[in-house]
Amino acid sequence: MFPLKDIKVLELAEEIAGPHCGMQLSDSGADVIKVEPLIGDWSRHLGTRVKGESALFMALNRGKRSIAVNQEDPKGRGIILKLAREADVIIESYGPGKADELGVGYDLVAKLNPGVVYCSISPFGTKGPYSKLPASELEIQGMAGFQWFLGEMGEPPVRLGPDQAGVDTGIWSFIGIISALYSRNKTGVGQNIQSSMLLNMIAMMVYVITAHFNPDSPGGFHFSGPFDHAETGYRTKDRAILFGMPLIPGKQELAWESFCRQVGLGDLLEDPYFKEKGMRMVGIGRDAQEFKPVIEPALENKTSEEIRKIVEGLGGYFAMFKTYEDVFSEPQIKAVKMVEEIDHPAAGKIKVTGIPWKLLDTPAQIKSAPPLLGQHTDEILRDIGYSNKDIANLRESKIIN
Amino acid sequence: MLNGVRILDVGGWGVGPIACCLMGCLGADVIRFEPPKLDGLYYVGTLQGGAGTAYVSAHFNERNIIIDLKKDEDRKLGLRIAETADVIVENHPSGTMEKLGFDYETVKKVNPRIIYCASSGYGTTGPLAHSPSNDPLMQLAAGFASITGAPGSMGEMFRYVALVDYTTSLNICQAVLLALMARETTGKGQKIEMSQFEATLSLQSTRIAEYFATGENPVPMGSANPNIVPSQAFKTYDNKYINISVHREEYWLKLCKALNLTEIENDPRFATNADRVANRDALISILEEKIASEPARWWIILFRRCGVPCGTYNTIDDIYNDPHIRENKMIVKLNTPWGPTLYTDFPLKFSNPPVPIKIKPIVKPDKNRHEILAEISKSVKKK
Repeated sequence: MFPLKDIKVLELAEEIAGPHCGMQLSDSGADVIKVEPLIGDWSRHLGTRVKGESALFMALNRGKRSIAVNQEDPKGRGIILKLAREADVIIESYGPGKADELGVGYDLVAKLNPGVVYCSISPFGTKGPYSKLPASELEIQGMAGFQWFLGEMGEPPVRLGPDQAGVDTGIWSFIGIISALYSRNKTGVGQNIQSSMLLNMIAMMVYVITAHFNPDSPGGFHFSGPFDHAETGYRTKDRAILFGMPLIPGKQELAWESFCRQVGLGDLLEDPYFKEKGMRMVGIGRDAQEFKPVIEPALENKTSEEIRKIVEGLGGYFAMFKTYEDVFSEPQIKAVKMVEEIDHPAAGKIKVTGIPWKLLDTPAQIKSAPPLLGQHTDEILRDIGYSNKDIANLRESKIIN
Repeated sequence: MLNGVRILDVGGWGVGPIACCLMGCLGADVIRFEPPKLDGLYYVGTLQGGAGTAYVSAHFNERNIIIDLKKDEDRKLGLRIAETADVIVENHPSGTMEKLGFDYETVKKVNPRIIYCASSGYGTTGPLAHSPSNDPLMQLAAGFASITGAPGSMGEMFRYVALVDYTTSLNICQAVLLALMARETTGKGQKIEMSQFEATLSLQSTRIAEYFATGENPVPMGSANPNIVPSQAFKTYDNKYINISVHREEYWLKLCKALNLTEIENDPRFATNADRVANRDALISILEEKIASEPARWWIILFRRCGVPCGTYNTIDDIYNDPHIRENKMIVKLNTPWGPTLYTDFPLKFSNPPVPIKIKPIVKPDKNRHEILAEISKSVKKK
């Protein structure tokens, strides 16, 4: 049994957050209908392709059915409104005011379908001076302060590589939707949820915001983070690494001396300051920066594997900046089932990232491949009462694909 | 939303507790089992009034009772409270709760409706099942750090914001809510297994897709985007940086008009996003030169006026003073046993009930012992 069996979702959403939310609802058992414009979803036109299909689209849209509709046309809008009347959940990310303009805003839909749980996703929400402004992942990361905790002071800013604001906003929206569905089981009424990328990301900054209000001292990593150097580890021939000596007194000194000799820094041990302090100053944080310019060149002509053997042989800790290739060749990936294979009608066998939680009695499951554009237009229209003749007429007038 | 749902936070550090606190914001009654020596988070990082600020920030909307699960008497009390609960969340290393005798099988015997979420570092099976994990190490282990950093670097770790931890907390909320929905139909609880490793991979699914498609490792690109041009930081006349993104075609003409650069508007090398990705360097150098000619403030005013996606590069002070954050009351000052501090409020806005969700600050350890014991004895009498 799927937790969201019999839940119908209408996805009126583009970019990352809304589609990610819809995909996770589908993995949990909901029937998700994705409405696309005739030219196809935003992500169909971006990034790497597999036999003509966008990898980004396929990463965000598995398990959904696709209907392609021209929403600028009143008949097209009529189709969306019919689907909206029957939906338990609507995910909308058209931007402030746009859904009302298209005649599928919350107020109108709720009149026809008072039980609907309608989640509006936007960069900034509906309240406040930025509410009508556009923004993407990058701008939200900057405005939420992420870039303050990355890169070097005074150097060009660095963003987080993953689409953190987009994906996590999808997750926040999911949390809001399920909470509202749970509550609807008791009250019978639905509601509107506003999910804003900026506010969601600000909420997640709680640790550093609390730390910056009234700390006892400038020490402690939650406060000092923004003022530290970029945490890039130590470069080796092939990967950046982090490492440290064992923390046991006595053992630490011996390990440090042996480490320095083995990597060719034996001469520096004649400097009492380096000999005494160095062992505590490898690793992360501000202190680690002091000797980095001396230690790093000695590691750059060795492989990460060579350094790992030395450090672990001495009882120290070692971690590597793993690439995707490293990660996906780990046996642990299989143990947690985080890669799944799907047969796609055009792209063939594709791999997608798995489902991050395991409900042991009611597991989630990938239902089907990411859809082709408008792959399910006809069956969706028939389900809501359109005849084959209606469908042919709509197609001829270019209202559907 | 979750009124009537009782959740026990028996976790440590940030991952389990934050998940419980968020469900507390949604109306659940959250009871934290505090170890007698207090959680490890109390002692690390930045301190305020002697308490770890992360500990203060990770325990909002919770009631607190000190319970030492290592002592049999306390464990029995814990099980009596668990009889009245709907959900238990723990995030200790795999096997810890079994050793303590507070694992799913034990609790299920006294409460078959219990939803028991066990969140570990790497899952319960496989070679890494018992490896320790924390936010910075998981960033390295799951590839997260390898796709972040200045161009040419071998990756960079995100410093102490703990978004990998927080994302795992959000995944816990999702899973617990799904199990609550399933229980409406089945009448039964169940066990949920998840891990920080799985959460961190799922978080990167859009970037992992590129790797699956090409077989090539994505590399750090500074503030730039592999698929969208322009989408990056630009230096302004006053040596600040602003972000600009043309992530939809409609913004391209708006950007050209705002910059008054008609020559690039009509240049076929930059006509579509695909063209701009192909001619990235040529376009970026033109934009860099133009944007370096005026201060950040001007560009922000102009781009907002013209509807071009743009943004500043904010510090914590900037965030605190931002008119939009203020109007949404996203940062709230609350009193705690360790003095006043700032919390971030619950970010989603619900229309029904339309009252804003209120965040409640951390309480003193063991503050709610008497009331919790009284409630337990009452519920036993009822039976």
